[in-house]
Amino acid sequence: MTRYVARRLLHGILVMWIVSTAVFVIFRLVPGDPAAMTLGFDASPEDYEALREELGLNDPIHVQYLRWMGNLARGDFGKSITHGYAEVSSLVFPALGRTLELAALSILLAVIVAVPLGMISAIREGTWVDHIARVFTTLGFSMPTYVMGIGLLILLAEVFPLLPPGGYVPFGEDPVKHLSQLIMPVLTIASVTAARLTRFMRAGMLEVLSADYVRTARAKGLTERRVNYWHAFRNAAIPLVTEVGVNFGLLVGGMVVIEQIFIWPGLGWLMIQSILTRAFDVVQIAVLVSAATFVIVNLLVDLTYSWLDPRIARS
Amino acid sequence: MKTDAARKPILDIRDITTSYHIRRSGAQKATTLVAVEDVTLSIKPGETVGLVGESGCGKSTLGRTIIRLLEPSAGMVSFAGQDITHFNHQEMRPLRQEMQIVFQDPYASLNPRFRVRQILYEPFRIHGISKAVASQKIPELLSLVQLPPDSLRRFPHEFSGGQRQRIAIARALALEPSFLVLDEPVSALDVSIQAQILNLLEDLQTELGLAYLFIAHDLSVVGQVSDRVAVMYLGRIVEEGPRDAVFNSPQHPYTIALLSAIPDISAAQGQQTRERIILTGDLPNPLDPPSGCRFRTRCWRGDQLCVDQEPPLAPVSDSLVACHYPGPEDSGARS
Amino acid sequence: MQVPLLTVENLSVRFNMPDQVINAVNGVSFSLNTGETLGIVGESGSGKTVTVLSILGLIPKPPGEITGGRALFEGQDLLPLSTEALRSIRGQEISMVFQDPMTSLNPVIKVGEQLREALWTHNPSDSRSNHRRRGVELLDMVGIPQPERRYNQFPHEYSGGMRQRAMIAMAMANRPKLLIADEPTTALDVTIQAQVIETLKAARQETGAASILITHDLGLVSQIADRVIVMYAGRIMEEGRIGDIFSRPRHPYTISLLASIPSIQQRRTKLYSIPGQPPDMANVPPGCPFHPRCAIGGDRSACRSDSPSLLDVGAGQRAACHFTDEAAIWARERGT
Ligand SMILES: Nc1ncnc2c1ncn2[C@@H]1O[C@H](COP(=O)(O)OP(=O)(O)OP(=O)(O)O)[C@@H](O)[C@H]1O
Ligand SMILES: Nc1ncnc2c1ncn2[C@@H]1O[C@H](COP(=O)(O)OP(=O)(O)O)[C@@H](O)[C@H]1O
Ligand code: SF4
Ligand code: SF4
Ligand SMILES: [Mg+2]
Ligand SMILES: [Mg+2]
Repeated sequence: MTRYVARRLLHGILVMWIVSTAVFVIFRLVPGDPAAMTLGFDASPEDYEALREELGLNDPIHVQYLRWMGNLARGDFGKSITHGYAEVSSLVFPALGRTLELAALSILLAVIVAVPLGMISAIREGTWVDHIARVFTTLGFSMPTYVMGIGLLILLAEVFPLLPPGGYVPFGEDPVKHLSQLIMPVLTIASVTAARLTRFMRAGMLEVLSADYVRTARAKGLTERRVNYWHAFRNAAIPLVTEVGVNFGLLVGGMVVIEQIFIWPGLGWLMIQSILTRAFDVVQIAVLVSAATFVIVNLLVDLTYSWLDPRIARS
Repeated sequence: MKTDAARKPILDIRDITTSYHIRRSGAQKATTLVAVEDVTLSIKPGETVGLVGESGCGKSTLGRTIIRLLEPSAGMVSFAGQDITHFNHQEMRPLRQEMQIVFQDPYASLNPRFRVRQILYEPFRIHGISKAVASQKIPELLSLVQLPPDSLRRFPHEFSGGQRQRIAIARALALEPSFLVLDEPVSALDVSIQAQILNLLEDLQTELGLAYLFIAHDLSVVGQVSDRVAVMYLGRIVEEGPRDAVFNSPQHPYTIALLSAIPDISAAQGQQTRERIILTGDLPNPLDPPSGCRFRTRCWRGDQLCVDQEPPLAPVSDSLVACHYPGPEDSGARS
Repeated sequence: MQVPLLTVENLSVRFNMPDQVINAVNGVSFSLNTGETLGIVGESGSGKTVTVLSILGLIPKPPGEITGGRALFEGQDLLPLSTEALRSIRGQEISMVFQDPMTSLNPVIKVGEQLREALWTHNPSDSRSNHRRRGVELLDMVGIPQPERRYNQFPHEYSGGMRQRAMIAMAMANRPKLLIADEPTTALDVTIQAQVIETLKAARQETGAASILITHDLGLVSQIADRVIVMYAGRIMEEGRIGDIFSRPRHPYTISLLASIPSIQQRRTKLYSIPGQPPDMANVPPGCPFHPRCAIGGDRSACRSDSPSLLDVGAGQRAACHFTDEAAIWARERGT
């Protein structure tokens, strides 16, 4: 088991190394170097040269690469010129925290809805419960997130002004306001994710329900409850863990539009803002951090999976 | 009896060992699984040698090594007088026409997207035989395995298990081989279809003078078709001899147990049957076989000698037997 | 005359598939006495499994549908019972062992837990430690070495033979009156098969349970059943005592089957081979379902148009054939 963990860790580190190299390559080698990107097209040649020197862009490329990797390895993410030389980490990590909060709450809500819904829809295959569940999942699948988000915004902030139309107040400052600001983005994301998870859960349960061991469980005289919610569910839940993890990872990196709509200053919002203000030094770290989150989430998912499935854990 | 002592064997293998290198998840280095060890066997033209043993004992591995789909790690394989042990793919090509294999599962071994005509054309194409010759031969093949001519236009899924096995046999026969490895050709078939295929194989043998290595776990099927029988246990041949010798006076405890374990209808028909011997325990792990005689963990005759020394395959009456205490059950040495 | 433990009358089951209707079981009737062992033989798809699953209400509905018949267990018809009512019968009065030991145990639950559950569900008031003790005892009874340790292992840590033993332990847990084993050894090696059959016999003896053994292996059924039913295309073709069926078969299908299996005792010069294929259950031939493959009735109009009913042919033997006398002569001529 420890060997397995070590191998997975190594694997994760390798992925992060590739991602950071890719970020380096993209930001250094594409036409229009970082200095030009930061200053814009109308900067004077002197300013431009000075910035190149300051950023070390005049050093040979391998020196730049080593410096970049060295800084990352030490956890030094540098300072942002465009943000008045603020530590990049002081911008990125709070934003990541806010994104994680949104993603975690959304996933939690999605799981709470999807697991029972998917299970009931499988157990009662073909009944009205199943049909309703399937209409819901199809809707969730076919509606783009931003449509859902804007729709909610119009409905609950404009037509019936029940909730604030976005924004962010820290929990410590005004808990009620903070929570009310969370409702709409969470609902939006959760509904789409829940649709996906419901469909996954339903398919998994249907497969498991026709397995031989479920028939054995019935033949033993167990109650339908125990057959469905113990024997079948335990088997269907294992792949669900992976699915939830993957969805969570995708959310952390894919919240750009939602954070924009609800003015939620998370990682996606920070990235857009930084691109608009040409803060490439923030963008590159934000990209790295969101990739790292994805890798870590996947690592955790794999470990949970092997812990849940005795066939993997023991071999 | 079709065997003829004067004829030269078409296939001759000496002290063959075949191993797999397997890597278990988490393990650092690969372990070696010796699937077949020190096997010697020869098959004459027109002869059927039956190979029996329980699942995982190495029957398929031996079959694949013989037709050189696998390379042995030791020993020698010779076919029609030619040493082919280390032939590479290129060198094997002309020989592939001579030796063919039919697999157990008639569902998995036929390409589902090919029509029967294409399936039967494949061997000709691979060996660069002209379409004209092939299209003349394909209908003949079909009638050889007693399938209707309109089968050519159909896909494998339109056929039953038995019919698919006929298609697989027709494909194996396309290039007029002289030797076939039949790897459990009837195990996946229904009782009423088994007899059809067994009879077909027998007719083909008489008609075309084929030699067969007939692999099966079902002893009664092997007894029906074989001239000689080899019994395998955990990678080794433990007894080999003429069909009647092995079936009527088995010498190795494993053969005795195997024969007595088969449920036979004779008792219900009022005939005398042998006493049943129920072996205890499971097959040992092939990654970690017992010392000395491999059968000793389940043998009721074994003693210290069996723990210390591996018994060689040695002549006992009409057969070759690998046991320190061979003999029929009532006369066998007991400890 | 003893009152039978189980009487199945005219059972018919079909599967309503999107594009066709499969008549899996057609008017099957048989009965079973206390302590008796009944064998059911037939090729795959002949309706053996569906017959016994229907008795316990275990066929999936939909697409399955029981279209007629009764299954009287100790005088009570099981077919109309609700799932809740059947629950107290399943695993308690009647229990089952299935074909594939690799897939019949839940892979993520420890074997001991699955065993304990069988005990617990029918005796919820008994203590957990009692169930555990009895579970270990049961594993020991079916010959699993180190039962204490094995109790806490997962199915994948068991070999195939051990899993099937665990299934038998589970089935015997509540000392059922009837044990149904559906091809319990088909997936196992010969020597392991012999072990498992011995275990089954011992378990049966210990509890005095009646049993139904489903198999396609005529040899196996001849060794452990008292009576046998031969099924084809969802119907019973012949029924009788083991000795009678194997030495004096009266139905052409039974005769053909016996002539087509190799025997280790004497090598046949040539096996009889039944022509054609088992029927497609969605398109069973009219009249006698065996007629396209029958050596006797193949082209007789009676066989092609009239479905023969299962009639007494003497000494408790029944056969569904218009020409049982000719069949008997044919059998003698063939020497089966
Ligand atoms: N590709 C492979 N890689 C690793 N091990 C293998 C491979 N193929 C077979 N083995 C192992 O080699 C041994 C012999 O296998 P083989 O398939 O020859 O047995 P067999 O007698 O044909 O069994 P069966 O009756 O199940 O077909 C087994 O322990 C098996 O697990
Ligand atoms: N769940 C199911 N859905 C549809 N058809 C089924 C189902 N179970 C069995 N059948 C069909 O019923 C027939 C009898 O099956 P079964 O009783 O399992 O045969 P046996 O046990 O004799 O091999 C077959 O044609 C089979 O395809
Ligand atoms: S050598 Fe010994 S252990 Fe092996 S089969 Fe013979 S008597 Fe048994
Ligand atoms: S009824 Fe006719 S077709 Fe059917 S088994 Fe009897 S003789 Fe054969
Ligand atoms: Mg094999
Ligand atoms: Mg079945």
